[in-house]
Amino acid sequence: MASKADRKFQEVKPDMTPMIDVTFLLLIFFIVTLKFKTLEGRLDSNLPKDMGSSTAETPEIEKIDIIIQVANPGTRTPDPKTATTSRPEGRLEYFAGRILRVSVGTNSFTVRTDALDSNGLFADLSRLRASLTGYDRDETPVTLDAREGVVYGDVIGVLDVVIDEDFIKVSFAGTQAQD
Amino acid sequence: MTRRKRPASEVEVDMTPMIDLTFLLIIFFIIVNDMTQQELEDLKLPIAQKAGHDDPPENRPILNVMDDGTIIWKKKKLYYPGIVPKGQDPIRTTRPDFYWKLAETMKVDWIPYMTKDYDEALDMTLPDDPILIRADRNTPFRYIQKIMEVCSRRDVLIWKVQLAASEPEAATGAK
Repeated sequence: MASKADRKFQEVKPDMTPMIDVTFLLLIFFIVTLKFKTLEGRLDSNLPKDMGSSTAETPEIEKIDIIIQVANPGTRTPDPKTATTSRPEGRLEYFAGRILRVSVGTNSFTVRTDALDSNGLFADLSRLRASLTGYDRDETPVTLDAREGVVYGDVIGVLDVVIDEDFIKVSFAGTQAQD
Repeated sequence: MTRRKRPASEVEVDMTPMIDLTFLLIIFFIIVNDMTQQELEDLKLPIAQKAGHDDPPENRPILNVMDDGTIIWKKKKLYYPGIVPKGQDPIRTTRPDFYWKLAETMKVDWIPYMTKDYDEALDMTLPDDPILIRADRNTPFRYIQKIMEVCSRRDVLIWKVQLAASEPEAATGAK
């Protein structure tokens, strides 16, 4: 009799079922919400700190204005590489036949945005590099003036070259366009 | 010998290894799951050779700009085409202010948490932390210029702006 009573005390087993239920629920939640870290880079730039009209005397310094205009807007076409996966509409489209006109001082030239090198960068920017030679990289301020119709990708393409040429003071011109 | 006496229906499966494995999987997914990624919208970034590898600083605000100009911060739309304007644009005073929600978010949710730095030339204290603008490669640049204008408003004055870009395909493929 005594041995039977002992066994009853020892064999109290907690019911594992609810815990396993919750555990599975958590597992499924984490599997569903899983999103692997995407590799992204960034380009640093600064906005002008002062605002309004400044009364301070500014010494006349050499500066570079890069004006980006659209010569031919091109047509939006699904990207052939990712056409099958273009789930959110328009996201993976690119502009076919798009031509930009980039002006640096008196130098003006065209850039085809659909001519890409093996890295996916604009292949046409050697003339921009050429027109940026001969300036003091540390001191010369560079202003990117994007005009009507220019998209983010165009500006990044030009900005990339400016930063690659080691210019440090890069800023952006304001917009004249209405909303 | 006592086991034999039990009815056949009471065959118990030992759950312990399964629970162990399940916990292990849960811990794996918790670690791998990076909650900061939830702030990134599904965009196609342009590619830039000089895109420095981004180690995201704590609490850096991320503005996602879709190709129609919609601005999203932490899943909240701060600007979208057709937003109801409020007040006057402080820069072009004749125009209504379409970016009031963005400006308000900057003032209330961002600037109080940014480190400040005193600028001697301006005799002012300015926010010293950057913000990241993640725009689709097809976003018209004027929408980004608008964000920069809001940053330069008198009551905001954020001056460090980072632009997101992808690293070149060849470079990332080689890694």
